[in-house]
Amino acid sequence: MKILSPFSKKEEVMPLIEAGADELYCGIIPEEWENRYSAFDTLNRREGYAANFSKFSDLQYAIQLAHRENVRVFVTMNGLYVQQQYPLIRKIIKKLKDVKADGLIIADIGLLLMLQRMKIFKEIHIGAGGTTFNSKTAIFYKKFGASRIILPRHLTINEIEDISRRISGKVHLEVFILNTLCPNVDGFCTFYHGMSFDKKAIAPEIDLKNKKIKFTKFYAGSHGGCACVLRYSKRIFDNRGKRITRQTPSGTKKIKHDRENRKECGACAIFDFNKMNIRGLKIVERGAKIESKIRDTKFIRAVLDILKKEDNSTKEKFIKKTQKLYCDTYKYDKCSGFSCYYPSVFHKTLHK
Amino acid sequence: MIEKAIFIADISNLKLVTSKYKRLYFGSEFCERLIPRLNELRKIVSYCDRNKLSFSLVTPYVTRRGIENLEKLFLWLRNNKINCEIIINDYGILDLINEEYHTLQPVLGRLLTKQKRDPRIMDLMQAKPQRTTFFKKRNEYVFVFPQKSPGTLLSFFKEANINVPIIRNFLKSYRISRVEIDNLFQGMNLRIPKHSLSVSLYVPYGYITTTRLCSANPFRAKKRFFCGISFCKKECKKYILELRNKNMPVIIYQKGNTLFFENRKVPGKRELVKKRIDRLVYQPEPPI
Repeated sequence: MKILSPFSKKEEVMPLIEAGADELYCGIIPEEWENRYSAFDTLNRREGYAANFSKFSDLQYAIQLAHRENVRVFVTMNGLYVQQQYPLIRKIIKKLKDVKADGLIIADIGLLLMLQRMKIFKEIHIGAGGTTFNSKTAIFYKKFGASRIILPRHLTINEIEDISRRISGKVHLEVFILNTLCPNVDGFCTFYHGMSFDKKAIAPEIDLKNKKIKFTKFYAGSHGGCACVLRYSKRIFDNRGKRITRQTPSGTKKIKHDRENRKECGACAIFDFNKMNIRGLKIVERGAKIESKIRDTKFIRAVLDILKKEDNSTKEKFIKKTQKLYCDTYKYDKCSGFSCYYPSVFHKTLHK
Repeated sequence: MIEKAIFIADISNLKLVTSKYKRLYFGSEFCERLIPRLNELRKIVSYCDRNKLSFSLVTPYVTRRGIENLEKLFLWLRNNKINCEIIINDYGILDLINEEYHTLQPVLGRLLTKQKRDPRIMDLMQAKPQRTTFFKKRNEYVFVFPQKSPGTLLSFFKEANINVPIIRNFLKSYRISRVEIDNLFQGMNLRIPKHSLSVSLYVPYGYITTTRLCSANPFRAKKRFFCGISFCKKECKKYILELRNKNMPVIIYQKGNTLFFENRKVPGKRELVKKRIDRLVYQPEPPI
């Protein structure tokens, strides 16, 4: 299993490789794209500049560094595109080939079809936005040239196992392992992450006695940030249209992005993934600080080391050690389970 | 001629079907646990026969369990020579229909017809100039200057992936001649050549997002430990929520695992014809 770590700056490449990343992925918002679509609709699902490169020359340098260490770099283009964007996308793809990117992470069926015709990249990964919930969908994408499928967050261990068994190695599988356990299905969610002010500076920062003054821009009418973290006031009605005021039906209390502000983690499932022939373990959050990315990569590397060292260990022992490592790394008293990517690891019968 | 269809997600809503509708949609787009059972399908098909209604079976995105349940329905439809439409929201199911069920007519569902559905787009497009603002964030002071949105961005928000020729050709190769879309607040730019695709417009509810971590139906277990895909008691059938936030220009409706907006402003007949919309699919309630 390979660890796929996120990066957004050339300076992050070597520290991440040293921390244990086997593969890297990143995004880019070229200037031409920015002028037309701003940060509202980037080439990928991470709107905003902190998560993306802006210059091909920087990306090229980062890729060269990674290649020197035999680490492949994939570029995320997992937006859902419209006709007017295709000519520019074609141009960007050619540039990405020029800077020697190893492959693309995509979600749009139109882009997949275009890449199939262009025959530029051999490595085409279908991101979570491709909504591959079953083996038939995985095989469907394979027919059009996909080499790897990144499974959606919303699958149980049993369902992942079923997909893996049925495709029997015809296409590689990758799973999410750390961070951003978004409640909504990636490929079916049409909320905009970037609906807030545009964080790109329009003038240099000013340092004033340990305080910084920043100048940014926003578009009239834009507000709120990611819609799934907005705090909604709720009114509940039954199916006869009668308002329920006294009693809240179970489970309708929260729709919250981050249930406990804990590190979302699926590391305990690595024991099962190892047996399922899962190719990649994806760490999310390209926009996070480098310290956080390094810590995450080291954590997953250490979990893989546990697996490697104790090959004959039982699942229970593995989970115990992994949970201890998680608590030690992220400074928690115990693993609460609320931020668990694959809770069915503990109770396989939960989803039956 | 605009065909009028009604979409019901529950068999008890058959009472809402009146003579003005020529087609009945039945099924679920958002949850495989709501796939109709075979006896329900039989009842619906026989109801359509009796009332001379055309029939469309709506299917969700599915795991293996969903595929098995759908195959039972497809087999029955094939064996009984019922040539109905199947609304597809999963490419695996599209493949399956094309390989094994040639009598069934696939239609691209609205989960696969990509549109820009965030209701806040409406605000962005109608926005009046705003003042420069300022806020403090830890040890930072941030000045934010308003700017006019780029024109390309505004026209982009009205687009859908069915305008892309390469996608239309792909759909044709998979026997798809109809696509389903939502009625967006910001309007729609549909540029579909004649005899290429027909379009169905869903009114008044448009979906915004959906999940499998269903907040209508989570932790029934006594220990609230897990946050994953949980047991289902179909509470989604019992409740509907109105969600309000000052940053959201409209009320959002949550039914089960899905959020919807409501837009009752239907484009005029001329506009519909221009956009190749020849069917209106009326949803009496958010279809869960």
